[in-house]
Amino acid sequence: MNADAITYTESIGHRPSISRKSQAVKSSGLTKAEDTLIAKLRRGDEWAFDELVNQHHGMLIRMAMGYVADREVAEEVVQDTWMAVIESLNRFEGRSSLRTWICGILIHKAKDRGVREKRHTTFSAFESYDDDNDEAVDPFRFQQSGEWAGHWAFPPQPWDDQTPEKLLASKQAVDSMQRAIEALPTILKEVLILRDVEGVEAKEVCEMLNITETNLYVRLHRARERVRAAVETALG
Amino acid sequence: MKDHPSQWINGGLTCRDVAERTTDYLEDRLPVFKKIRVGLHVTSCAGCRSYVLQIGRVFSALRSLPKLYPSPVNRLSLRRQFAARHAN
Repeated sequence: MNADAITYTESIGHRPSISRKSQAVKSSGLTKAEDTLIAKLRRGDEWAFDELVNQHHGMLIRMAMGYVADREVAEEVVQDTWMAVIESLNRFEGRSSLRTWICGILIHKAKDRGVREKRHTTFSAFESYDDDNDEAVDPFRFQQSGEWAGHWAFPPQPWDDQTPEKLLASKQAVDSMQRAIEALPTILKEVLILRDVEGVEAKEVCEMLNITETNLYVRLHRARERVRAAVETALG
Repeated sequence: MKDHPSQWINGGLTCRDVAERTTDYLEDRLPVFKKIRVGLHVTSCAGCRSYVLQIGRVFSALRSLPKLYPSPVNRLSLRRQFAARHAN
């Protein structure tokens, strides 16, 4: 197995916010670590609240950007979300993970704000998208007819010297990735941010977005391909 | 082109099929025989090998994008709100 495949395989099992050692699931459906964190939050532990904000703020900003026009508005939506979390923490029943619950509040607030702004802005959140049509890769990159129909006509050129670290060190590549993410329709952006950027496990992403696992992976692949194609173009 | 190894290894599995299933392949979601066929195709086809590697590298880069934190002003405002809620 090559180095990239190892990196990929290890990474997809990684959950950055809560270590696997502490994920013994209790009868409430929450992990032991979440139970402990919630108990601290309910006691008013400000360090625990800081930790919660540090864990999830990036996910919330990136998710909010799927619904509203700019970063400034996204920051406001996320701030409102945290205020709602503070106000409602005592009503949290643990039927989903804390992250899923917070994400649900964010989506509700961001959608509401996005709808109010819709008439003033045009952005990716309102781009139509259909899971069943569109192919991930542009069909014109493949032979259209003949003995080799369906095989590459314009194959991707090797990125032999582009390790993930080098990609991240290249401003051109990172900017192209950021722009490609921003341009994604919301339903592709959500899965890419939750699964790939934030490392949320597939089952939890499906629960957060109320989609099937099949839908998740179809959308995830299309989102990854759009980002890959943007980097390909940027690297020439 | 008639010597393309995928002709005899993959029996009808095209590059377009492989490209469409790349995430399922990387996430180990394919049935075992399909996975073997895709794996053999990827081994024998430079275009698909590049494609699979690139999707994997983009994924790894996405996972490593910088974390985002609230501005100091917003953080302070949240702390105050949290403290006030629990002072009551």
